[in-house]
Amino acid sequence: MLNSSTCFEVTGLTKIYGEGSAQVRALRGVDVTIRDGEVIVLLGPSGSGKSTLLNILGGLDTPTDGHVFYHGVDLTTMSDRDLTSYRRDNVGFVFQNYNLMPGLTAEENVELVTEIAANPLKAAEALELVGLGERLRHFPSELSGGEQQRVAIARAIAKRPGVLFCDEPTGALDSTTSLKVLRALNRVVEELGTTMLMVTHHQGIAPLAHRVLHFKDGSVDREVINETRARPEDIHL
Amino acid sequence: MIRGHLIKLFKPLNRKLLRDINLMWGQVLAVSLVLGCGVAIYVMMNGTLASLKDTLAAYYSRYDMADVWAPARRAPLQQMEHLKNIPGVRLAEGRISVGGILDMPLEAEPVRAKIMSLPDGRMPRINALFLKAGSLPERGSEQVVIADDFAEAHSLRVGDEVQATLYGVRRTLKISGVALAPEFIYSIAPGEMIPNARRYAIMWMGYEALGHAYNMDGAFNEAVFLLDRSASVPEVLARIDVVLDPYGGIGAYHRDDQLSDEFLQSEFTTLDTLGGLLPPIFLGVAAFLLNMVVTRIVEQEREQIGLMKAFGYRPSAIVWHYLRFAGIIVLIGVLGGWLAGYRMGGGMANIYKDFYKFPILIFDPGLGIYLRAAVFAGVAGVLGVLLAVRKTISLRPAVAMAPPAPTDYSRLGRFASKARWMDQGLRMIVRHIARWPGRSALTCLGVAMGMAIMIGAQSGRDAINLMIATQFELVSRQDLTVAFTEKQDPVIINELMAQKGVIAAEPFLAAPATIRFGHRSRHQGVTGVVQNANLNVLINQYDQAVNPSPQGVTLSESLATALAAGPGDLITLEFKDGLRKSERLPVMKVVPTYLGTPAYMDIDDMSTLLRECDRVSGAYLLVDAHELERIYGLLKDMPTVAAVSTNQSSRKAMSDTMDETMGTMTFFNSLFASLIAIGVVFSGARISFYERQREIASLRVLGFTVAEVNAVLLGELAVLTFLALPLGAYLGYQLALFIHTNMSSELFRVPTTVSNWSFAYATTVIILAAVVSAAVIARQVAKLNLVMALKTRE
Repeated sequence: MLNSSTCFEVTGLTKIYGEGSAQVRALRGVDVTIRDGEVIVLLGPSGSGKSTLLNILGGLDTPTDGHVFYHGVDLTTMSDRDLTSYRRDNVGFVFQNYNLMPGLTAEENVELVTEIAANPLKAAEALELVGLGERLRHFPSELSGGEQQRVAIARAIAKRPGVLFCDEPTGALDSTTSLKVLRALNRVVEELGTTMLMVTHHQGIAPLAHRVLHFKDGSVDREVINETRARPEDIHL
Repeated sequence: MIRGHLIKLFKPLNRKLLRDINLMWGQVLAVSLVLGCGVAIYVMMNGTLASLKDTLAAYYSRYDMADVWAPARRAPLQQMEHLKNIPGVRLAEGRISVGGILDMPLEAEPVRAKIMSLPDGRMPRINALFLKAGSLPERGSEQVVIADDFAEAHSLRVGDEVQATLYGVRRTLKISGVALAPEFIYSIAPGEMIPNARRYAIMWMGYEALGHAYNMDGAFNEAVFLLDRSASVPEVLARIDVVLDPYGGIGAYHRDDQLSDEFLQSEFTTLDTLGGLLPPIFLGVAAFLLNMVVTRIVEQEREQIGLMKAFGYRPSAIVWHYLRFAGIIVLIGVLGGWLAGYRMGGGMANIYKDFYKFPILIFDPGLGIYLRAAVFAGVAGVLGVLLAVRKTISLRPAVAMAPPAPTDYSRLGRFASKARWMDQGLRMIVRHIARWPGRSALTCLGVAMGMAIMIGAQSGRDAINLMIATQFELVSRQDLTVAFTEKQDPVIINELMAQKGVIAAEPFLAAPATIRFGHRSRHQGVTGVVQNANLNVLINQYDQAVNPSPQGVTLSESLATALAAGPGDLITLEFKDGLRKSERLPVMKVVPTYLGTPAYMDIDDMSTLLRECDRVSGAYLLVDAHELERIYGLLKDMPTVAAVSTNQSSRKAMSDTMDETMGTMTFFNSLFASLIAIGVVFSGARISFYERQREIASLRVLGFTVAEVNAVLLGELAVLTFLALPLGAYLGYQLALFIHTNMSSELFRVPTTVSNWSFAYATTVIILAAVVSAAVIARQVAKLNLVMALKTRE
């Protein structure tokens, strides 16, 4: 099922925040390889470095040391302008707290991305994919938390990103709503073949991944490979 | 580290307060600056005014400034006894007051002089002099004391000599002293608008010598009086007039109508108006800005407020917390404003001291002015905070702690579906503005107010420029105005015309008079002018030349207002000259004038009325510039010529004076107005940035470039600034109108005009402020830490 080509090649990735006695080592020389189309779940306690890795891979932050190659191109040497283009063309983000534009409708929030992307889905199509085909003209204030998150997912995938980063996408939702969101994500990954990295606290989500990276103190403590990926319907939250 | 330790000494809320201020120091400073500008302007203007008033009162009292002046033609000294015995008169002195012409080596033009007699061998008891140098003239000698400004303008010293023509006779006057006099703080030559020390000299001579020169031995032509405190001024004036009437009295007048004092009072009125008007506006804008800042801080801190309430802090404690936050801003502003106001007020007072030649001037605004400024600023601050905190403080802790639901834009749904033609950015801008109409309107209003006060401050100079331009380009088109010692036969006009270099000449007839209508009256000379005049022209409100209507009087608008008379009303003219005729005549026309309260008649009608057929008091001349010097020489040598004034030097003197006083004031006002405007624009932009950091970060994460994000964020600033410009121009014009109406007096009617330059200046400052603010914000957008911004709760 999986493509054999390498999506991310991460070597010796280190991130240090602050200086002197206030220094925090968020990442301590992480090495990891991620292939195209892979679904990775990153698990671990708070402060173990998983979100930092996600932010660096997503071009939101820069490492103190080490390299990140995306399809062979080194992100760590990129200028701010290049990182913006990288995000624009290749990356989708889903955050715990949706980050929708309150002044735009669901459809317009998605159009924010489709207007600047090279080969996007239609906004309505993207929203259809996450089960919100009926709510195009609604403002975020008129949508439930789960619906807002699904708009955020539609917005993230509408550009057909090479890679989708999800940082605690179900963190603010109840279990029923969380499942809806996970179903939406799963459908997107399956239909578009997008590589996905998902940070979560929730052990129960792990079976959805091809691979689970357990983080501890800024490095990958262990790696679990699932023989077969579970479907969202089959997991319990 | 030390700061860290220090901060622990405070209670938690105090620590929060210090950290808030540390975090938002840019914002705090911007608001403090605006508030400080308001306070500084208040202290400067009111302090300058208070100091001037105090100084003037002390000066008048120490040098026994007269309460009443009573000019006459020629009265025997014995009449002084009658005048002294009038009930209410404390002291009276008679003196000779005459005009002469000086031939000054530095001036090609003849210089006018007003010469007054001094009692021989002593200082007068009324209108005493402050002798800066030298001594009083020796008895019987042709020595003079000259006014300090004239001495300075011509570099004259004690012992120097000046050549003068007194009553047609050339004399050499030796300077025995240099003095200042409270009566001539503002010394303006008759017919001029502005003091001009190069062209007008005040001097004093011993009674004996001056009486001899002017054939006034044993007589006086002006009496001055000090009155008892309890005296009824109108009664005393009436009694003086009765005594002097047979001797050509032209009407006694009180200090309120004395030219120098009147000008000073008018200047004070201007200061008072501006001082009463501008600071409240400045402080109002500052209060608005403070409110804007605190409101948004409170909105951002609603979670923390909920937390504090959950911990059991009372609402009053929380309000107190924000009041102290505002208090610190107010404190910085007030202290800065006091200091700046004191320094600038001192500077202004010094300018006035030099300008008015006060012997002393201490800038002491008095504690009251400082306190009032602080109270104004404090009230502005408290109001700002209370309005801001009101809404959030009433929320239940749980509600306040929960992140606010996404802003509801659904009410704009219909608009949304119709707005498909806009791109996303524009739609976000428009929706954000429309979603917060109150806030958007206030931001817009704040910027407009900033612009309006700049226009208001600038418009003073515009008004003066218009007055000067109108006066010298439309009304007084002559080069020279010649006044004769006595009324002359019109043949003299032909003689002047015959001189080489004289291009045109127009006669005029002038007579002192009292003009009455109902119970109102004014001592006001009447000027007879020719029909179809080309040199000294009456103009209507459209700046078109008009003729004095025959068979009646043409009044200036200001005189008509003062008398409450209009066209068709019968007014009484009591001439104080010649046969002292009294005549009832209709007001035929009212013409706008900017200076003084003149009244005009047709010259032929007027001479018929005065039974002085074919007499002229002076002439307006248009001359060839190349022949000017020769004509000056000629006029200096004509015994019939009492005075010559030139338009060119009058205009220059007026511009210089206005630059010196009004210019400085305008400069300060405009500087502060600009600072305030910049503060408003900058704060608005910064606050908007802080509020929308998360939105900006989201857009950046989605792959929007810095420029694209800026287009959305700064687009709103641009739209609001753009909307503020016409509003600001409108408000500025209204402000100018209000200021000018309040500044106008009988001496000056200040026209309301705002030059294109002032509009352009204000617009440019606003746009520049917006561009600079935008550049600062754009930098911050580029440097925004996306991860951090997305973590912050809305």
